[in-house]
Amino acid sequence: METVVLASHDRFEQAVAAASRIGRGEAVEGLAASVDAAVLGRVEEAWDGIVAALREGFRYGREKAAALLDAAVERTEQIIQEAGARGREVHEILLQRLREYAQETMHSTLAQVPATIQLGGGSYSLTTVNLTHKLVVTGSVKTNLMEAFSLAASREIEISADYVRAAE
Amino acid sequence: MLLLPVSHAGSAPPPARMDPMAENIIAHSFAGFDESQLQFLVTDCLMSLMRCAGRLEAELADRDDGYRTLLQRARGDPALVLDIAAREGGVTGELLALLDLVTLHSWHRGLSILLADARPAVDAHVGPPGTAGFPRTLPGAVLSALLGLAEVQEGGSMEPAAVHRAAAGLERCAELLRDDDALDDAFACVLSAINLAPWLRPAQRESATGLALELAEEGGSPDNLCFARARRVEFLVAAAEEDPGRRIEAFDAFEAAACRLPADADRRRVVLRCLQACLERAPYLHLLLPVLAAALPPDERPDGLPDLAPYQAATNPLWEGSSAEWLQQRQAFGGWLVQVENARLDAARQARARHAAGAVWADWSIFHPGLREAVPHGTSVLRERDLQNFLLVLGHEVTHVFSMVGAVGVASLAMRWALLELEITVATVYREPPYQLAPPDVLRLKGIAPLRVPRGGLEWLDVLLLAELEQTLEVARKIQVLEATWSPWFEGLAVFGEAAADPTMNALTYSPTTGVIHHLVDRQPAQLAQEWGVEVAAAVRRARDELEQMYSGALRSSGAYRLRTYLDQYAPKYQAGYLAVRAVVSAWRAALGEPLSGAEAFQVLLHATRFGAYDALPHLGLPLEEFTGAAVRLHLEWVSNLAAAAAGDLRRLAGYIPDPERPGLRFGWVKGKLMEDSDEDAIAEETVRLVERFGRETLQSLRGPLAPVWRVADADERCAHIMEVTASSLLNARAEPRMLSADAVHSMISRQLILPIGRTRAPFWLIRDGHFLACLIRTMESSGEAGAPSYDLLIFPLPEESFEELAREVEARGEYRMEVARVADLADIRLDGSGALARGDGRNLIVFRYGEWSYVQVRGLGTGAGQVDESLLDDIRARLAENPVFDAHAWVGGAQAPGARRALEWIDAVEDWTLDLSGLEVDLGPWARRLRDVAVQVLENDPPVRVEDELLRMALGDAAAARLGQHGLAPLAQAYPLDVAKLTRFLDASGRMPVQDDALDALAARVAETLGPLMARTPHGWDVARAETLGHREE
Repeated sequence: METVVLASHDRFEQAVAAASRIGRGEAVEGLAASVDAAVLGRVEEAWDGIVAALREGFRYGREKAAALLDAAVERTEQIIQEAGARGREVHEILLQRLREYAQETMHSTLAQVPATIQLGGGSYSLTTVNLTHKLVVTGSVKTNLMEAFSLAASREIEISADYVRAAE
Repeated sequence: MLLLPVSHAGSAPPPARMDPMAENIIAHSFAGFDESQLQFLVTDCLMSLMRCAGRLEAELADRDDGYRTLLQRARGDPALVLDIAAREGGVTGELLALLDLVTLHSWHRGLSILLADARPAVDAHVGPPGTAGFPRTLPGAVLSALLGLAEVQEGGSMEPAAVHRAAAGLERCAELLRDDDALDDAFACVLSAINLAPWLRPAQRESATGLALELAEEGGSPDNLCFARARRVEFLVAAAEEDPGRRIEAFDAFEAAACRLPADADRRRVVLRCLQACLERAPYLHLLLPVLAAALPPDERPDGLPDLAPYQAATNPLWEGSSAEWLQQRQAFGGWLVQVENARLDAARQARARHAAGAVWADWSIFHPGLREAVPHGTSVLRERDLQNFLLVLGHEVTHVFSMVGAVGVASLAMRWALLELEITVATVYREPPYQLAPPDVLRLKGIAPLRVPRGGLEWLDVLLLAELEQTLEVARKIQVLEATWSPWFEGLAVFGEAAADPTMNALTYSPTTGVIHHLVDRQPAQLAQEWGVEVAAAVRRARDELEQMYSGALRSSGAYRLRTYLDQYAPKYQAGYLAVRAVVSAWRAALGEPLSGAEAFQVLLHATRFGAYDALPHLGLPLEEFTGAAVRLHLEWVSNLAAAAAGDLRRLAGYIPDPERPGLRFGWVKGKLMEDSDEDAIAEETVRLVERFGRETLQSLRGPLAPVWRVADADERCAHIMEVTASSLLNARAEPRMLSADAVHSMISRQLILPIGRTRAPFWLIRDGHFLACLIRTMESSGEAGAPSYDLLIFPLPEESFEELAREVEARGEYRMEVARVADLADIRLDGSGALARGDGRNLIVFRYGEWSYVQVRGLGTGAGQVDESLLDDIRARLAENPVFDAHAWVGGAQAPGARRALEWIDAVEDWTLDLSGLEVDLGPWARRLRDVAVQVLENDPPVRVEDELLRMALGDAAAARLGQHGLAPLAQAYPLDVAKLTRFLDASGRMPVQDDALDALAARVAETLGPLMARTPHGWDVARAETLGHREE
């Protein structure tokens, strides 16, 4: 059976929230300061732009959000470059966040596929699920951002699910 | 890889040639541990205990006969002996001594069997290890050890509880023998305890190996020291397997042990076996193998080793050849030594959190993950991989320390001294007998002793203890309250300094924090003057300008990002203090009618925090609840008064340049008004008086009228009466703090003004040809793009006398590392007779220390200056030297809160809180529960006050405070994600100067909609808004 699962706003925000939790600063006790505060601040500023583009894409679709996406890509690359020797860390955290967003979106999509269905008086159990959406994993923030954006902007994921009739 | 031959590796222990002094070190093999080895261990322990026999006989005194009769009546059965004695007159130390002697002499004639069966009886009089009843006298300690050994022998196995008891008894014997100056006997006992190590808990192994090392160092026998070091390495290698944070200890301990092996061949073989076993377990030690090989006599070295001469040169600090020859050897060992240093750094990195830098209230020190094993030198700072953040973080932490060098820090320090004094009283009077003085070094070395637990009903002494324990707990908690009250402000000030105090915006003066930054790079002014073709003064100014430009660049490119993190991810910690500081600065700009720069504002804020907060401190003896309320109220009043500072005062201080006609003139603040202080000396005397007053006030805690009975809500009339009586009796205790005499305070404060920036233990060499000291120091933990550590080899001549003194120390200690530290002088600026800088200005110095020897070089912009002020030298030595009193002070008042832990244990150990007053029963349970609650609060250090909400409300008004306090920047992020960055950029820029930008209107509206009125348009541009009431003085 082939079906389309629509992404809900709540699930989208859950995926964004899960991604936003990656790479946050560790707790500091007493009169202390994080030595990574600048890296963390750069990550958040780049992430602001990414989330804005994803939200816009989710709400209004690919075309209307294209400008925000371009701005997010440009700003992210600029921030990574400005970070100098620590740009790699900024890059890495953003990558992890984008992957988390994509994974969380996929998981929530799969969770919507029923494990059993009732059809014509019979009960059918899920055996395999195939996602037609290809998840590209690369080391490029830009590619991963495009991927995440594509997931958000399409708002739907095609799924092929196989069921077999459960034994009586 | 492991090349060293070991003749007995893996075999049974060496034959029992039982010279217990130093031979009783046994290498264990768990596999195949058998009866004979068990017997060997027991015999070894018995022989060590026999060393106590003379002292036990002396204990018997005149009552020998009576006890011998008793022994006969009981037919030698220890259980019966103790029972009869308990019934007929009590179990005394003399009786235990007799029992010990008889058992030791008749061990193999069956007494061990009887003793093993007597455990319940022994436990009744000699508590097991870890309990309050565990003996503190030699007869009791010996009996405890004997009981453990008897159980091992009769059980035929190394049953952990029995071994633990035996080892604890032996260790206690060692401690008591050490107190009696019998170091050899003590060493024998503790080595026997260590022989049981494989069956002991890690904490017990740690204490026994630590004690052995101390005893060996005190005893002065080189071979004993080798043994003790080897045993310590064994323990540390095992401990590092559980906790990688201890690798650096294992590394250093192995290095020290491998450098110098015992002179005696048999002993050397045993030590070698220990060290080789450690090498097999810990790959991170492999690089040190040549150190071990080079320490062996040539005929014991295995074949096929490379030329060890370079390694010997590397690890022997004394070089008698020419300097040219040394340089040649250095070429040969240089690469290996850098590898060793890198391995040591890797080990050190396991030990600490790498994400945070911080400042410590207890001793006004700072820590930075990049500087714990590195000493900036020359221009190394400029090569730092993440220089911008390095400078900003260092500035942040230095600001904290400067903030402490003022009213609040001094009060906190004095309270800690008073706490130490109270703890010593408790530990001296109420500990388990014998009652003996517990000076601070004893507290440090042995921990806070368990208190005497009442058996049966409470006695009057227990009630007094309850009162005195409550004093210690209240003081510990009040220290937490004071620091928690001021921490938001301190953080706000430090963040403001990071983001807004651009030193290039103040051409005439600079803040004390900037002074420290100026001196981070070593430059010789005379050389610079020559190079640049200018006067020396102009060269210094230009060099300062260069550093300021660099700091300014860091602040402008990273400040906004750091601010974003502080206000977003760490909002509960930084937001309230930062916005309060900003609101105060806004009020000042309004009062001045001109845009005060961030740099100027920072200087005034820091000055007021240091010298204007004395009137913001409550009486330090107030009861906890009142103290908490007063501390918060006075703090808020202080902020409010500061915001209302007069324009004239602000103008006078913001650009203040010291008046050459009045060099001693200083300023202070009273209720937000600037006051002239008479002169430097008068201020110093006043500071001493204040510290004494703070100490005196703290000691008054819970004495007489400062001990309201309402603090124990459920106390009945009788309990309340007892509380009143004890509070009155505490009035008889000494009112003046013993430890805060004028001299002590002076030296304590002076010492604290030396701030260690970076420290490391560096390999060094003394080259007699030319009296050179060469030293390889790690200058940065991560430099350049690759982030690899960076090293400098320093070579400079020492005065002959200093050279010879160091050479003698090296002969005695044999270690090839010395401590190298970079420190900053935080004292007020003082010039010497020639007008040169003598003290202060944040000037940096590098200190070389080895044992009692030390040498100091001026660095930073004073590099090349020959003379170092004597007072500065004294303060540096005092700051860096190990000092048990200061250690105890920091430990007792530190995060571990050992006193509170001990108090909690004691309270929980007391079963019945009824005091019987001649038939009149008083239930002191409610009072004890109050103590318990406070002890838990101290241990958990849960926030005692939440001053942040009040601070925000006062600074910004109710509307903004409510939303920001509850949600931080989240509402703005949710509604307008891209505006969070815009807001933090605005906050960043307006901290330095109000921002002229009409485009901010729209942002201000969206911020007001989501967070509240946080931005305000002023005549000079956009600035942070403040509550309408802030900045107006209420006369």
